[in-house]
Amino acid sequence: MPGSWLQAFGLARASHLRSLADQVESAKARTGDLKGQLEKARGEVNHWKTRAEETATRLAAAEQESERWKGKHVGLRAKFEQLATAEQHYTLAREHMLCLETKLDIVEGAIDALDRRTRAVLSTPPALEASEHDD
Amino acid sequence: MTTEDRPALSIVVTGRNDDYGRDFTARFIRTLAFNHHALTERGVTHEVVLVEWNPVAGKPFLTDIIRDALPHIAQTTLRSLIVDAAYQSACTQNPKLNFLEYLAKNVGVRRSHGDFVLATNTDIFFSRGLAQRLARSDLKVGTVYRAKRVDVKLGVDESRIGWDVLEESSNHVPRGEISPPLYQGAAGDFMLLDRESFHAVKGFNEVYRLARLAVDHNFLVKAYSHGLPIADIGSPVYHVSHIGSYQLSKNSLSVGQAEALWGARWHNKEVIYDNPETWGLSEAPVRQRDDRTTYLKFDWNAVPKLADLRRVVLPISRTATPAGHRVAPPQTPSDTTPPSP
Repeated sequence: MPGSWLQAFGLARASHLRSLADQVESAKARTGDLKGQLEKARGEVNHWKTRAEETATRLAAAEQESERWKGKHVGLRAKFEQLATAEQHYTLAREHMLCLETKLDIVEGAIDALDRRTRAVLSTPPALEASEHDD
Repeated sequence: MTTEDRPALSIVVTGRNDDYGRDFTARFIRTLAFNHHALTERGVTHEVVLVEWNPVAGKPFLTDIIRDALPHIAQTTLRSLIVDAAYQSACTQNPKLNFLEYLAKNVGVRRSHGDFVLATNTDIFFSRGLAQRLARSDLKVGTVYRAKRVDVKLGVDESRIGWDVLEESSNHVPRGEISPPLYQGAAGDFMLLDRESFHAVKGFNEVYRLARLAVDHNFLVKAYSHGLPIADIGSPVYHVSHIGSYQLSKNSLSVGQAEALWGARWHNKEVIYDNPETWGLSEAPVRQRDDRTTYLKFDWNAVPKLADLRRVVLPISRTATPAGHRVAPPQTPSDTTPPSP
């Protein structure tokens, strides 16, 4: 029992010391890793903080924009209604124009027909007599 | 004419002895005999109302030529209305046109006796399905019926034409379908409506008398605006292409030549009419030439106003199919003959 004998004098075996030294080294290394991870996590937290701030800024801007568009929407809607009314007026005006054009065609045709009749009367004896066939 | 004597169908056609489109008379005789046979075979009582508009001076009446060629039809089925040539000159708003086709059709529609009136052309063959449909006597009052026109190719041998030739798709010229709401497309070749409704609409446009072109389409706009539904009757009619037909000539003639034949394009889709009560030359004095031929003598009192501008009107817009379907009146016994197989 050399181990327990050495322990009685507050000493340890060299192999035990080596093992403990290894454990200390390993713990140190682990602490280093954890520190690294902690740093990384802090970095990420900072990154996300920045992103969150940016998003918050964007959101605020979007809200502002939304408010602005809400205002514009009311204006646009009014304009759209005006446009629809204008289109209806245009359609009605076009229909009346086509109607008038048709009437003008008829007037022109009538004048043309009367002109021919007049010329026929003036140049020859009565032309528009009943022309019933002999049958 | 009593209800019992009344035929189920009046077929209104117009023409004159001017050889329009070449072989006009021969084509007319062929289709008249063909359609008469198809209807008679199926027991469809009918009359053919021939309106001879602006008869050619110095030439025999078309009516007389048809009577000589088809005496059996002339004695039983054909009724002729010869309209004094002076009406053409007095009515026209376009001196270049020599045939106011739709004014002529109105003369026939106004004087038709049938329960239903079909305004068509002299070179239109009925299809087998159409003859069967007419025999079924199930047409609705207050509905304008249209039929798709199938053009049979130019130059086809017409000497022995029958449904076998007409139905053969390799003889056809491709043509679009007719579709709702107006089912337009060669409408002048088939416009079928009950007589009462035809009279309620007061026939085809006779306020605008500058063109023959698209007056048929204009009638559809008018009828739709009037609240009459328009339907495809479900079977076609056939038209054998010929030199001078609108379909063949519209792209080959100069603008001036085309306008002389059919008149210029006009606002037929947008503007309609309200014919006077005297539409169809109803005030024209008549002389009976024989029991089946009436001569409409010229009288200025019968001539519609040369320009009647307040009768040029706008159609009523309709977004839904117009109502107005009514049940057909009871048919006479002769109309209820079952269709032939």
